[in-house]
Formats: sequence, C-alpha cells, structure tokens
Amino acid sequence: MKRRNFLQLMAATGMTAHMPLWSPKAHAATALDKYLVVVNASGGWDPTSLCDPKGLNQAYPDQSDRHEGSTNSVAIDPTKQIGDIRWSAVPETASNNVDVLTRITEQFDGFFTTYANRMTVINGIDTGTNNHDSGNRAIWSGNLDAGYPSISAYYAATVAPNLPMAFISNGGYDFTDSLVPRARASNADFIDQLADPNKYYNDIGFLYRDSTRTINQYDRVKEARAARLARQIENETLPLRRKQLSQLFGIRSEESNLGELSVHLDDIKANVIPDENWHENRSDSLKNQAQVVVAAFKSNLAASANLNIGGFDTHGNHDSSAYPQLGDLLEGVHYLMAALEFAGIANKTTVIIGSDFGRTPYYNSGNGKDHWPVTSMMVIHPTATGGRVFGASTSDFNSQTINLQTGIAGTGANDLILTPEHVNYSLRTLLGVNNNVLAESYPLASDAFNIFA
Amino acid sequence: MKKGILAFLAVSLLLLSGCKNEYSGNVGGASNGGDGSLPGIFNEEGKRQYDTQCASCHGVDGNGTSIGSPLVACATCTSVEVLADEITRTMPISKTEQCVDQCATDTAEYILYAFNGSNLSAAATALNGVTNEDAVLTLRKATLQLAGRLPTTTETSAVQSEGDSALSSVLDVLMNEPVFYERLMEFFNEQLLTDKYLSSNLYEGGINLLDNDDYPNRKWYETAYPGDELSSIRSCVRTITNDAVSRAPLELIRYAAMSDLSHTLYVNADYMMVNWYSQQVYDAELLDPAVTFAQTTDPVCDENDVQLYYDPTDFKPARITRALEHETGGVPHAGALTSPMFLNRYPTTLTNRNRHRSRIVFDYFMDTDILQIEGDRPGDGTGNGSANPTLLDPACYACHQVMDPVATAFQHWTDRGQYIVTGSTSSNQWDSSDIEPAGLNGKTIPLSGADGYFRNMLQWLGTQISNDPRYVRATVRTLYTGLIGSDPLLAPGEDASEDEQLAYTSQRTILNAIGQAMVADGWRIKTAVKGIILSSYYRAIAIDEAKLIVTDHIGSSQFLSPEQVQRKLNATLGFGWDEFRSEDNRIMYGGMDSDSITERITEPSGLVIAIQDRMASEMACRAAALDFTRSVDKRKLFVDVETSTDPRNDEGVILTAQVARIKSNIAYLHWVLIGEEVATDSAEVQATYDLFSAVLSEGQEMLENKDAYDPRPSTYLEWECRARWYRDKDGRTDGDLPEEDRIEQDSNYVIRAWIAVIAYLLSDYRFVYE
Repeated sequence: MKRRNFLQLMAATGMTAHMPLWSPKAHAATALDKYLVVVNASGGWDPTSLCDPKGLNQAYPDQSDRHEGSTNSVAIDPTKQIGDIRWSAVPETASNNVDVLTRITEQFDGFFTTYANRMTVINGIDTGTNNHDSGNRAIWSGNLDAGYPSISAYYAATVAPNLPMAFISNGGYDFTDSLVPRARASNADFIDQLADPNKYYNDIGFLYRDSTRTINQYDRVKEARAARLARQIENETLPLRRKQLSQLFGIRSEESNLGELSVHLDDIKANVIPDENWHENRSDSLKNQAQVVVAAFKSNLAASANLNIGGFDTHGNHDSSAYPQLGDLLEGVHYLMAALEFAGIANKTTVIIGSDFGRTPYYNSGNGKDHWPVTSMMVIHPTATGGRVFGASTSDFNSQTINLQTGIAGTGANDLILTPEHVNYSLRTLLGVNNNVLAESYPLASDAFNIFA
Repeated sequence: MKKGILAFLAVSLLLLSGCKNEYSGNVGGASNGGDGSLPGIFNEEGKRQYDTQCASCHGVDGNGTSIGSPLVACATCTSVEVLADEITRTMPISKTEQCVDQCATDTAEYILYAFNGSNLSAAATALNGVTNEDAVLTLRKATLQLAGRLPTTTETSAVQSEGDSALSSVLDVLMNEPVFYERLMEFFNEQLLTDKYLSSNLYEGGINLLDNDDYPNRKWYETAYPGDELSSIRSCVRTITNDAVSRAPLELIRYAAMSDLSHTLYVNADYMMVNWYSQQVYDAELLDPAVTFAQTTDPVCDENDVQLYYDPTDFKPARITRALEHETGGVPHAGALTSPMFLNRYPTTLTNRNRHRSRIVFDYFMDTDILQIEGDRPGDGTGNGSANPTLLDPACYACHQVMDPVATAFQHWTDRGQYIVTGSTSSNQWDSSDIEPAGLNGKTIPLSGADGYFRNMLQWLGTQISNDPRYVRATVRTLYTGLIGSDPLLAPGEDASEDEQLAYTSQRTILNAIGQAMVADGWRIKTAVKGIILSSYYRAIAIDEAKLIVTDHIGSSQFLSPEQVQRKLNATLGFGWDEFRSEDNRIMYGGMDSDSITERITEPSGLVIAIQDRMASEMACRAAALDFTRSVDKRKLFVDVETSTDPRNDEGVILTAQVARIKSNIAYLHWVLIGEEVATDSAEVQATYDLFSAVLSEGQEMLENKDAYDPRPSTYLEWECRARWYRDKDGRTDGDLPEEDRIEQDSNYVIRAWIAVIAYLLSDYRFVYE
C-alpha cells in the first residue's frame, strides 16, 4: 500500500495518534544517501593503548609499581602520527612471539596510515561511569540513564524504519525504544529463500503461478492478508495490539529486496577476500558481520548496523590481551571499509568505533587494567578533513575542559568537559538527523562542540 | 477501599486455590492490608524526615528517581514495623545512623500513608476501564503458552459453562504437564542464561566448567564407551550428560514446582539436582539413598548395541559430600548460587572481587538494580584519589557498602566456580582489609563459633535472600516477563505524569498481591503463574481510552519466540517447521542462544515477517493433504469437510450445504489456528471463504484448460505438498505413509484452495502474536 493510502486508512481508523514513529517512509524504497555502522569494542577498551597514547610517563607511582607507575608500558613513537592523530606503539609485553608483535604493529600502522586522513579521533570523553552497562549506554545513546535509543537505532528510525533489516544488530548497545525493530542476519542462504515465500523450486510455486505471473495464486493470499490487516487495525480494541498491528502494517507496506542480499553477499565474498585483508584467520567474526551488513546496505535493506567484538575487559594481563584484540578490531574495521569501497558506498557511510569506557592509566597487581571513565571514539566519515583530533585527556589520562571550537584543552569561561552526550549530538548533526521529531523525544545537550568541522 | 483492588484480591484468593494463608513472613506490598483498611495516619514529623533525608533519592512523590527505588507499593511497605526496620538498617545509604528508632518509625508511617494509601485508591480505579477476554480465550492462550497444546474439548466445555473457576482448575492440571516445566525453566533462563552451556551451543560447554580434579569422572562416557571418538552411543550420552550438568540450577526450579515445594529452593537448597547421567559425573549423595532413577520404555540412547533407558528428565536432589581437590567435606550447596554454571556465567577477576556476581544477585534475586545507587559520583567519575576508594571515598562507598558484603560472601568460589576456602595457606587468597565483610542488608554474616558460617557463607546468603521481600518481587518479575512478554513498568521518574504514576502504582499493587498469594501458598510458584494469567495484564481485550491514558502495558499480546512458534505448529498442525532446527534461523527469527545473543527480539523486523511468510507457505503446503489422510476424529484442520467438498457441482451450481460445511470449517480454522471466535456468517469467514473460492475457481478453470498455461497445471500436487510421509515435531519426514493412505492428487483443486487458506491464516498477525 502506498503511503497516501496508508495515511488515509490511519486517519479513518483514528490510528494516527498512536503511531507517529513507525509510518512508512515514501523515500525508503530508494537508495539511502547515508549509512551508519557502529563498531563496538565490548568490555571497555584502553584508548591509551590505541589513539590517545601517553607513553612511559610514570603518572601513578602510588597506585602501581608496574612499569614504574606508568600510564603505558611503551614509549610514544613520534613516527606514529599523521596530522594530529597519534597512535600507540606495540609494547614487547604484548607477546613473546615476534611474529605476533609484527602482526599487531602492521594492523595498527596499516589502519592509521590508511584511514587517518578520513577520520576524526575524539579524545578525553568523560563517560561519568565505570560500569559496563551504563558506559555502553552513554557512549552509544548520549544518555547515561536508560531510555534513549542507540545512535544506530535512532538513525535507522529516522531515515528508513520499515526497511526489512533497517537496523542490523550484532550486539552491543542496541536499545531501540520501539522506534525500529532490530534485525539479526546470520544466514544469508536462508534470507535468499525468504525473498520469494511461495517459491518451491526454480520458478515453481507452492501455489500455482504461471511463467508470466499473469496468474499468481499467492498474490490472492497476499491481497486477502492485506485487506484483513486493515480490518484488524480498524476493529482492534486493545491499544497494545493496535500498536503491534500498525507496526506490522508498516512493515508489510514496504517493498522488499531480500533476494538481492545473497547476490551482493556472494559478490563481496568473492572480491573482498577476508584472508587478504590483511591477515589469514584474523578477526573473522567482525569480517563476517561486515560482509552481511555491507550487502544489506547495497541491497537497500538496511540503514544502520551494530558490529560487535569482545575481549576488551582486560582486568588481567592487559598488554597480551588488549593489543592483539585492538589489532583485530582495526583489521576488522579495515575489512569493513574495503567491503564498503567495493560496494561503492564507502563515501556514503559513517563508521563509529568506540567502547564502554576506558581503562585505568596504571596496571593492577595482575598486570591488568581496570575500569576508568575517560575514553575515546574514532569516526571515519565521508566529510572528514583528515588527521583531525578533537578533545584531549590530561597527561595522566583524566578529562579536562576543552574549547568548544578548537577541541584543545583550555580554561576559558565557555570551555567544557566533553561527554558522550556532546559527541552523540554532534554525530546526529553529522548524519543529518538532529532536526526531526525524534530529536524532540530524545533531546541531547546542544553545546556546540565543533567536532566534525 | 477501592473496590477494584478488593475485588481483585478476593478473586485472587478464591482462584489461587490451595492458599494456606499460613505465611507470616515479611513479604511486601501495599495491598497487604488484609481487611482493606488504609495503612497508618499522616505523620508530620515523618514527612519532615522524608523530605529532608529521603526525597532526594526516592522522589517527593515516592516514585523514585534514577538513584533511588520507588516506595509506592514497595517490597517492605508491609507494615510500619517492617519498614521501620528496613530504614533503621539500611537508610540513608552510607548514613544509617541518621535515622533510627523514632525517626525510622515516623518516616515509615509517613511513607505508608503518603505512598501506599491514597495511591491505592487511585490504583483501585486504574483498571476500571479494562475489559478482560472471556475465560475460553484465556484458556486457549494459556494452554498453548504453558502446555504447548490446544485445550481439549472437555476443558473447553468446562470453562464455557463454569467460567473462571473452571479455568482455574484447568490451569492447575496443565501446570502439571512436562511442557509447563520446560516453559518455567525457559522463563528463568532468559535471566540466568546458563543454557549457554547446553550442547547445542557449546561442545561439552557445561562439563568443561567442572574442575577435573574435583570431578575426575566428569567425562565418564569416554571411559564407559571407549573406542571410536565418533561413537554414537558416546555422543548420545555426552550430550545428555552435558545438558544435565548445564541445566542443574534451572532444574531446581522444576523440582520445586513439580514437588509443590517452595521456590526459595532456587537460592537456598542445600543440595543440587542430578539425573542418572550427571550423577556419574558428580558421584553425589542422593538425599534419599533408596530412590532410583526412572527409566523409560523406549531406549534414550540406542547405538552401537548399547541401550540406555534412564530418563534424562528425572532429576533427584543430591549433595556432593565426598572430598574435593581442596576441600574434604564436599560442597556447601546454596541453590543456584553455588552452581558452577551460575558462577562461570557470571565470573569474577582479581580486581572485580565478585562484585559482578553481587550485582547479578541483587538484580536477579532481589529485583534491585544496584547500578542505580550512583552516590555522589564526581563529575569526572574518577573518585577523590583515595588509596581505597570503595571503602574511603563517600562517592564510591554509597554503592559499595551495599554491593561488597554480598561480593565478599562469594570469596570461597573462584573465578571458575571452584570451591576453595580462603585462608592464609590457601591457594585462594582473600584480602579482607579493603572490602566490607560478608553480609546483606546491613547484617554481617556470623563467621566463627558453632553457629558460624565461614565455610558456607552462600548458604547464609541464600537463606537471607529467601526471606527478603525483594525475592518475592524478583520472582514475580521474572514470571511476569515470561508470561506477558514485557517487563513490568519501571518506576516513573520525577517528570512522570499522573497517569504514568497511576499505571505504575496499580500494576505494582496487583503484582504484589500475586506475590503475597504465592508466599501464603507455601511459595508455590504455580500460584503466581496462575495469578498473572488471571490478571488483566494477561487477559485484557479492550480498554476504554477515555478512562485510561497509559495503556501499552495492558494486555499480553507478545511476539512468539521461534520455540513457541514451533510448539504452536505442533499443537495446531501436528508437526513443526524444519527450518527452525537451525540455530541461525531461530536467531534471525528473534531467538537467543544465551551466549552472544541473550535477548529475544520482541518487535519483528521485515526480515522476521518474511520468515513468517515463508513458514506459512511451506507449512500450509505440507499440512493440508496430510490432514485429510487422517480419520476425521484425528484431524487437526479439516473436521467438517473432505477433499470432495466442493461448493459447486459439475454444472457450476452453488451447493448451499457444501458451502455451509466449508464455512463451518473456516470458522473452526480461525479458532484453532489464530484463536479467533468468529461466526460462520461473519465478515471474516466470508473473506476467508472468498479466498478459498477464488483459488478454487481459478484452479479448476486451469485444470480444464491445461494447455493454455505455462507451466501446465497438473492434477497432482507439488511433490512437497503431497501426503506421502509422516512428519515429526522438528518438521522432518518420519517414515512413509502406507500407500493406500497417501494423497498425491488434487483433481478438483480443493486441497490447493485449502493450502491458500492455511497459508493465509499462518501468516496472520494472530498466529505469531499470542
């Protein structure tokens, strides 16, 4: 049913007041001009081991005797810098195996040298919490308290809520507040079957259809179902069911391109070989997630997605756990970018990489690092001006007030500590979804941090 | 009071049959008024104390804030004495000395008056605008949900004639069926998530969590069935053994429910559950040494010339009393708390020091989100720099003084769930200098002396939890979420409207009443299940929106999980859908694996609806002809028609009697498949008949002019749609039908017209929302 007819039906049934957020979008059938991928490093990563290195600064001698009370276990390497973006060297304590150290170094250097010019690094974000759930929620919704949708759900709900897989979630913070359903896409072959529910084999249907589709008895089922759904909405007396029916109506009103998914997926698998980007058998989970997501974008089935990789909650043996995992995270994001490039939509896609919070700037007695509220995010986006860092933590890895325009630490009257709320506000602006009805329902402090200038 | 609440309570007490009213514990709930009188009087000093010391966290209206739980219908709002005791011991957090004795009493009186009196009046009228579905509809929904079947004719007749009282009796019966206990464990697994370790998710996932030195027979099947690693008998036994080990904590729930024992066993049982297979692992001491494990008629494992008949579902209580690697006296069991599955599902680290486990205990067993106690965390969240902030920094201590005593109680259980008592010479070291002593709610565990609990702190904790009013609330929450499909309402914030507060208050009041009925009935969990099913939250069918503004939480229409859909297909068609055998497919449909996917999808995406459509097409094709092969009394779908029942004769004349039979069968299908009561002359039946008729007419015309179509229509059904095979609960073919019973042709196109009808109904909203 077309949107006009849908709205007429809604008006006739008095439904409009109940479903402002789930009505079909007239533009959803056409390709989107922006996509969003959120990559969640689950468990709380250590920015000082990645994009906010502090080096051997011995900042916490009272808290730790490890590495002389230092923040990091490796010195800053001045060669690891492009523009304002610096990244950590890989300490020898990350592995006893030289090949592993080489691999991680390649992953770090390869990622930043390839993407620094398309990326904004945001440092010194104060999450205000050391708790996984709260931190994850704050980072990806902008709100420490429960109730706000993730940025990826919010984006999909704004631009194309009725696409069959509008918001693909592979984990991480994926609360939707019922704005848009979450979709999980783990079996592309099955999705292929779903494209044609009446397909038995070849062109033969369970219910008869001729080769020209002049006769298609399954269409009679669909027509009867659509008419019944309209009657159900009209007659339903329980608000909960009426809401569910209206959601179903929106979904069924949208054209589906499910059949294209496997075509694009096969294409990506054949041409963007995981083992060739960059190492064999590394980051397979992220690479697999990326393949389906990019194919779904390319098929106009999805608008946003969460990718998820765990292993960052490094309370013990931080170096040998965190650096290899960070390397695999970066390799997985590289694969995602390669797949987006191949699909021709890298220039339409924003990729945000973040985690629950940061880790202590000192090592505990088990050589691990515990929870710390200061963190970073990295955003690869089409409008990036290159090598930009916004915000800064102190040398001992605390948050500090920064200038709203320059992102440089300062003590001006208008300078503020950068929080996830500010970052999410800027991300909404970057994605062009900050001026709509949803923004009124989920407002964020609009302090004008100029993060993505 | 408040006729609505009194009426609900009266009905509850009548219907929750078996209530012994013997319970005298301190279970909470504002509806615990007994005679219906409002609690207390206005206490001015109490108000002053509340405004000064409590309102900043609990809200001026008692509805809570992000840092304080609501006090409306709160768990300890049972009486002035109970609440005053709670205040004395625990409030204000980190400043408990500030309100004791008269202050606590005054404040308690005010809280009961202000937030548990007048609000009850509002709550009483809150559901006045709700109309419940009739008892027969509730019967169908509950029977499908709890027993995975449709109600029998006898059950339906009884409920039709006797209404809710008969419904109550039928619920008692169906809650004794095996599927109910599976559902019960599913409800609790959605929280506990220990099914992560089932063989379907992880190879030897549960077995591998057991320490090999403690349980040298943990892989007993390798010795019992040596030889080829791929030995089928070994594989069969390994799967059952692993799943029994993995399911042990949830089996406590089943055991208590089956035996009419207290659900508190979930946290305080001084034993664990074993079946014959896991008993080989544990070599535990059965509580009743004379008891034997049940055996089945048919072998459970029958491979490699070995037959095993031990029933995998027959679990017995047992204790590990033999020496372990580090402890000579075995395990001091404390329900799920000491289960290696629980302890590994919620592991700890050197620096976490069981705080994660503590948070889970508060959440799962005491309905308390400890993270809401944020204290006065400084803006940058890094604390005041003290060397031991969890004890010395007030901002941290506010939360840690609540959390850490429970964390300390877990000290003898390692990160891998092994029991090693801490001590100076132990391999399990515990520094007690920088963490609160073990305890709960301001009580410290007595450690030394004859009554000391040093070695069995979790047994003390389990007992305390089982006596804590919050455990009632936590139990009802889990059941409510499982049955209704959504969580109970969160406490409204300061900005909440009166309508939102009213919705919360009324729901809280009713759920508390259900919890109290359960406790009064000897903590029988079935009593709470029944209470929720009989409530308007389960049965609402219509709401007067002029009277009620906040309504989305009323009614239990939930999107069915893949497991529920599979059960429904089995109940309605007699077999399942083979595509749901794949875990990937189940997850895509919104299922969970308790591992990386721990939350069900409750709002379907277009992808999920596409799966439903595919299911509808495939299952309709397979089901229609197959049903006609059965004798009429065994049929699931076609009770009024035969394959020869054509609405027209050869001359095209409408046969009224045939049409009536078809419409009657359509009405039956509406009831059986989608729970819709429709008359044969209703618009819905007519719409379905029109579909049937259109497909039939078109098909018959095609058969008469086969050469005019490409591909050429056939009198034969498509191969997949032919009735040639039996099908099993997983949707696989299950042997061939006798040749004489097979239906392969559809010469008058009637079967295919019915396939269209079945596909239409299986893809309906009401088939996947129940």
